[in-house]
Amino acid sequence: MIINHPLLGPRDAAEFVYLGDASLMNRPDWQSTDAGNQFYEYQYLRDNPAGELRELWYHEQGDRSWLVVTRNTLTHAISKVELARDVKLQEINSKTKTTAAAKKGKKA
Amino acid sequence: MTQSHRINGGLVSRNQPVNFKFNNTSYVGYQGDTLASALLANGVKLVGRSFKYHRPRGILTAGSEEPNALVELRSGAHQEPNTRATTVELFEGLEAKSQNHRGPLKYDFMAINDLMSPFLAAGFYYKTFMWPKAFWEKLYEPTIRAAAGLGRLSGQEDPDSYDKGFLHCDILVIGSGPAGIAAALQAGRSGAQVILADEDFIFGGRLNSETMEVGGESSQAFAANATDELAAMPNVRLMPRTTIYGAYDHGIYGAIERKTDHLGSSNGKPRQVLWRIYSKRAILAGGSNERPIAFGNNDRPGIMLASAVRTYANRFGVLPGKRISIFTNNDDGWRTASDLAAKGAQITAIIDTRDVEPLGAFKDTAIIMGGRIIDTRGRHGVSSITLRNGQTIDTDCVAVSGGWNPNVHLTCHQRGRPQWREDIAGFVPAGEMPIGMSVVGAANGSMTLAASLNDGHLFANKIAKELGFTPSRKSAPKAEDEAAKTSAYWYVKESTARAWVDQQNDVTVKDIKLSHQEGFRSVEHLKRYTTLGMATDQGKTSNILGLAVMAEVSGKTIAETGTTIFRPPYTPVPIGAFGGRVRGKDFKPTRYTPSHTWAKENGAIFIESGMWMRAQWHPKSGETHWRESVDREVLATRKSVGICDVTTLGKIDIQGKDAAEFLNLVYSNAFGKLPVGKVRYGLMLREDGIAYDDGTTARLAENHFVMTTTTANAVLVFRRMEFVRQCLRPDLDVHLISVTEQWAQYAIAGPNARKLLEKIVDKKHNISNESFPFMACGEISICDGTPARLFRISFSGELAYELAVPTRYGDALIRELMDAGKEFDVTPYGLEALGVMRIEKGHAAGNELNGQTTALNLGLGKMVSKKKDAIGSRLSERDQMNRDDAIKLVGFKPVDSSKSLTAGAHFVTKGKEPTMAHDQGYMTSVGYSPNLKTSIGLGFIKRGDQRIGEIVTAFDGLRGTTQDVEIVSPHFIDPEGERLRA
Amino acid sequence: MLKAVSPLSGFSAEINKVTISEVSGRSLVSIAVPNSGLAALKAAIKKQLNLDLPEPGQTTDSKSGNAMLIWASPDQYLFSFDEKDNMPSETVGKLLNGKAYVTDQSDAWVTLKISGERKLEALERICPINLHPDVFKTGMAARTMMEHLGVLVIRDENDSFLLLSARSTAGSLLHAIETSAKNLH
Repeated sequence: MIINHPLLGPRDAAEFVYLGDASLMNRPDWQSTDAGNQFYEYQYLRDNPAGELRELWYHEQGDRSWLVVTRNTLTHAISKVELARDVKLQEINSKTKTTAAAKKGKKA
Repeated sequence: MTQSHRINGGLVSRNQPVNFKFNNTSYVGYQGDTLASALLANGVKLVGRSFKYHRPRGILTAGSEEPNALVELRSGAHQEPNTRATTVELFEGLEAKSQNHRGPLKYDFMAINDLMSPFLAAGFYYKTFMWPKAFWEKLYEPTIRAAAGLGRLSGQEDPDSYDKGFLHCDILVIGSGPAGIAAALQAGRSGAQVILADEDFIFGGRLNSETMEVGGESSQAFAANATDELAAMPNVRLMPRTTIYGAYDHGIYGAIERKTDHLGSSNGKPRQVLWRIYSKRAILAGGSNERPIAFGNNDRPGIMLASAVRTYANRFGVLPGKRISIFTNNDDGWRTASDLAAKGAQITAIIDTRDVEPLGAFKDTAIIMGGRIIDTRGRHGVSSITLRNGQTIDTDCVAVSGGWNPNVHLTCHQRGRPQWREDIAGFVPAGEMPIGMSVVGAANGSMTLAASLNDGHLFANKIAKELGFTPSRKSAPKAEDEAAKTSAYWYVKESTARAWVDQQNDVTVKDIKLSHQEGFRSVEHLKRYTTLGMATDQGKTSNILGLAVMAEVSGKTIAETGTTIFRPPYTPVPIGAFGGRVRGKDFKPTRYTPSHTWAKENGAIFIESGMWMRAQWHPKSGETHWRESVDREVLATRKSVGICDVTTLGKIDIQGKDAAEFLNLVYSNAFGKLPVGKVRYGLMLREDGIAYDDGTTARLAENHFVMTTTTANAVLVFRRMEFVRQCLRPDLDVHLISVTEQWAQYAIAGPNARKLLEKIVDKKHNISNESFPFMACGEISICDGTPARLFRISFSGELAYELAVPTRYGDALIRELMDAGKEFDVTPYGLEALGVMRIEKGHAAGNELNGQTTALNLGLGKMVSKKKDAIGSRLSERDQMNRDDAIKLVGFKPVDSSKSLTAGAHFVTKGKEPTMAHDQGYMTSVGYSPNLKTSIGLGFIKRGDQRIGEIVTAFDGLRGTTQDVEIVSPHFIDPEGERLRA
Repeated sequence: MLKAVSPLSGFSAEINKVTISEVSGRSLVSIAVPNSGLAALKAAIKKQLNLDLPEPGQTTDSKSGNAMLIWASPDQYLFSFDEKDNMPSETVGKLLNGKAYVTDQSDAWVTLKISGERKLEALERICPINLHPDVFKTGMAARTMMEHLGVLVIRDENDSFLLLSARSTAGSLLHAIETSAKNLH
């Protein structure tokens, strides 16, 4: 397979290490009330669709970027490739904003 | 021998005669011949025996689809079985032997099988050899294996070498027949990077087999001129003798290039190169293969495909027979007749299954429209045919044309499902094509010359344009459309004799009917039950015929019946080519430690540890047993000082404002408050709570740490830390880089370690116990200004340091340490002594961090901090991982100290049966302690920490031993850690 | 001072019109960009080293001082320059004055220079990256895998290829390239 690296262009999948479902990026909060259950689901419960799946690939023999690759597990067609750090940062930033907005709302 | 069947013309070099041997008889052919054409030129028709019935068989085709003419090529270790005579280029001194017969080819003793054929029909294996069961391994299988099977392997190591490689192109053109060559020309002219690959040794495909005209010149001249034009283009890579054997994801193709197979010797160069071709677009121009018609005894040597007879005449200047008859269901068969007649051949008869007007008239030729051949005669070659009306015609070659199958093989390698096209009576590519693939010419159902040329030309233009190139304005090569009407006629029902569908697997029309009768209704089942379409030719000539028979007996159309599909490889690829150059020691890279040269000079014994070569022990002269060396190394280290190369441990440089917070997340224990200039032992868990790596991390500055990992997990730890850094906490300011290779690192251990170091550490650095205590670290210099790092850590349990210098100084440092240490009788120690000392000290290593154990099991439960988040900490709290009877790491000693412990032994309470139900734990590491003068071990046993002093039984089912062992503290030496702090 | 040795003791050979030679006497320091510190680092590098930061897959170089910056990963560069002393990370660290996290990599790598008429033919046997001059132009850099070894390939201004790979496997890399050259038909 060829993975179209967002910074480096098409590279052979042999340069990458596969991890699996990108839901692994959503690690639960260790202090939440049902943390045990959440970690159990995070660690063990995954979807295995015959179709599009967001997966994590690590460019170990390359620039060491973790990528989020949207791939059809049936046809191997890859429709989207993103830098995992960008995806995660966006999520962190939007969370911070929401929290900030909520705090602001409280004050008002 | 004279070339009795050679005629004028063709593309062979008559001024270059080539001597060769077949079954030890010498013959002469010409440069440009294949083994098959040279054999036919010499009148050799019988070339092998069939797989099951040992029927005499001859050459059927003129290409890689050949089912019959398989030979053992070359001799000695170079012998290669199942080589198709139809693709082997003739070279001086070639030796080939026919296969699958006992005794001479003409008098094969196994031909008795043919008389047994009523018992050997489809599925005979499953029916005959079922009973008694024990006979299968002892009698049936060995007998069948000896009797069946095709060629023989030499049984020696392959003396040839192979290589692999990577190629890139904009457009890959597969096949160089009319469509392929027209496509390559236009693609090349557009300026795109083009690869043209063809399995043949000259380009042109069928153009070289025909006498048609292209652009006012002969098709052969057109192919040659087009090849010259392509060769002159710097952006075109011509790859003759190259088979594209597989279509893989995203435009990747597998190719096998035969570099030296056409030469007598490979001269030490790789015989074949296996290429991975990365293409933006691919144009498949695989052409089509002619298929036979099944009729009674249609497998006699001399009965060939009509297109092959034409190829031998037009391309090779060989007439396979003197009196040739033609059996056809389509217009193309007539072209064979006219081409052969033009070459002066005697056409004895043309039998066309169709009731149409004859397509030509020939002198002295019986023309039978609506005719059928029902049987043939001739012992080692056909001598006559019998028609439906009983008429017998003498002939020594029957040219059979049952129509053409588009070559859809590569289109099926992913999700392609060919579709039946009634007008051409063939399957054409359909379903999802491999990404980027277009199919042109006959492979796509364009069955005439003009249509193929045009197809290739236009598709190349279209694709070049899509890729951003400007197509040349040249028009497509001009040719006339030849007569190409065909009919769906498959087998002669009037034949009572066996009619062969798959000659390679000896499958007859009757076998297919039988399999249907027995309930194998799907084409996939038919294939498996009868073996139709299996083995080296993968049914290229037989599949469609087989499923047409199947369709007919089941009363369905061919479209409803469907077809089996293909998977790689297109033609067989030697396993050696898949291995490439990776043989023996080249199987994987070898990593050398900085002290390797020194250790080798001093006679060290090495062991592979992952990719690393590490010193296992350093024998002294006079030592005859490895234990002598290892015991000495351990005792000398504990008595004075020893040195060990520990460069192989993974080292990761960690910097950033949030580095400490990051370490808190990846280690189960806390690192936030580690002072600068100190080292701490750290434990890493998997997210599921299982321990997976340990090591030490030193804080060199507020925002600068250096981590060590185990040798085995260096890569994995780095990968997982990058996962945490990028996928979980990209908001943290932390940066990682491996420094494993940057630093040569030596452990210096033993009571005299400091004294030795003081001799080489530059005086400005104070390394006294007070200034540089246990777990201290610092950046220093040694030997007058050589930069170094010093860590006071100990794996051996002794007063010990690890000293690191930039790798370039590693060789000099070990020599310097050995020199400076002479007065202390310094001793280099290897991996074995290191292992003994860590067991004596009770330090866990890979055997204990084995993917099944938790911090609690390891006795490190307190290292899982509950005050912070860390990978694995939450799930390690699960109840079942914290049972009261959890296994705990403890030490073991044999009750009889003259006995050795064995790793892997399981523990049971004394007096209990060694069963799973009684299993209490297992031994992980053992060694002989020269200090305690007994075998010692580490292992896990239920509630081990509360059972010190108890005697249990160690049962080793693998070695068949049972012994009593005492549970002891895992710290055999210096349990209070006084030596470390001395 | 301890005596330094290079990974391949200065190896150089020509096989089948492929020239393979070890490059030594260079320092290599990794430069990591602090979070939100790219602009400051860019300015410091321009001022102190007179170099621009390379884009992904690229290098930038300065004629004076024979220095080269190589893009390594989204927040990391490799800085290669003629060796002056054995403390290169300190030297670079002082110049950049806290604008970057620097780590000495000079001893972690072996560098081989591949030149000669048939260099591309030899490299296509082991390199999965397309090194055609229209695609992999002068100054481009790519990290990939050859014969299981991680390799950083750079096309330098003399149209030669620089191959940087782990020091401990220098022998295996050399063997791979020598075999590729010897295997040319």
